[in-house]
Amino acid sequence: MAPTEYIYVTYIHAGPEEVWRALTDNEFIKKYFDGGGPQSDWAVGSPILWKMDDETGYRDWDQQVLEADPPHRLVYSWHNYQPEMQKYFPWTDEQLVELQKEPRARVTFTVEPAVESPIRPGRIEWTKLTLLHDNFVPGSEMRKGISEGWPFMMSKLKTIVEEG
Amino acid sequence: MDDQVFIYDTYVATTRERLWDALTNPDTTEQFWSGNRLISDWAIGSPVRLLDGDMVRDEGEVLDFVPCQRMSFSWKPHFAIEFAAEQGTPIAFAESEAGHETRVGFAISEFGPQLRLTLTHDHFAPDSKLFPIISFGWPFYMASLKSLLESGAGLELPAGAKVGRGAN
Repeated sequence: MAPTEYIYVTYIHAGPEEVWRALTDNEFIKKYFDGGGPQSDWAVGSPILWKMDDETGYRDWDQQVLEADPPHRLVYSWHNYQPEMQKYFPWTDEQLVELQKEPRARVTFTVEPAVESPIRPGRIEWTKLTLLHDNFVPGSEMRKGISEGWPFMMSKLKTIVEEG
Repeated sequence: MDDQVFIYDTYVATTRERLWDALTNPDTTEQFWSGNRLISDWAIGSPVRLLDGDMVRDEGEVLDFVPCQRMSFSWKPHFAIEFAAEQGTPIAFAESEAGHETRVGFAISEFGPQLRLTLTHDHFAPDSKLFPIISFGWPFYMASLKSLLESGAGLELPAGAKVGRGAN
């Protein structure tokens, strides 16, 4: 993994359509994003509102859907550093201004059939979900933060999809 | 690239005892690790072997073992070399790598109502060709382990099944 990207791969005991729904159904998203996360109509070019926590609520942090190819590939732009994040990180106002000069990162989800049913040809029993979060600068504070968060979100997404 | 480290966190809704048993009981490892049995008496310095029937797929020695908390062992991944050949992309491994011992560690920590299982695989030879192979393999087995403990369904590859390689 390059210092400018973050990758997390998991395998989910479900079909690609169920995994796609977990990525683009706004109610479903809240279940693994601790009640927040992104909300959008998930059409290419549409805005994404982001909820970091209950106190801040949904904000338009200039995020957009860049690609949406159901049920294969979803790409969206990430948010910049925000003043509301300073309560979680020890950034001064001056540091925040510097951090905001970093290029904006991007999230790409790739959904692929992994294991086909041995009994029912064409039915996918396990789906591979690859998260690529890239366009960070080396040593990025944002990358440190998302590296902590994504394994938890992706683990929870897998659990909820598998529970049906 | 030197100093390659593979780290993979999985959050699992289970107990420390069940998670530990899944990693150290060969009857359980074969349910999530493509039928392979991980065999050791887990005393420091004892051999650790990953067996497919009678065949030793990978092997090493116990370096650290604190029940229900953490363990690590050295690891000569013979299997990764065979895997590359099976996939039709044989890799020219350096002489130094064929006998090189990497290191695998598992650690369990609490995170809210669930457990975080952290896998760390490091100590690769300089310019190791193994790294992309293990980076492909571990998420597969860790996802299988999580499903096995949470829903009872480990990820089994039916004969002839193909696994999507995707971004790896």
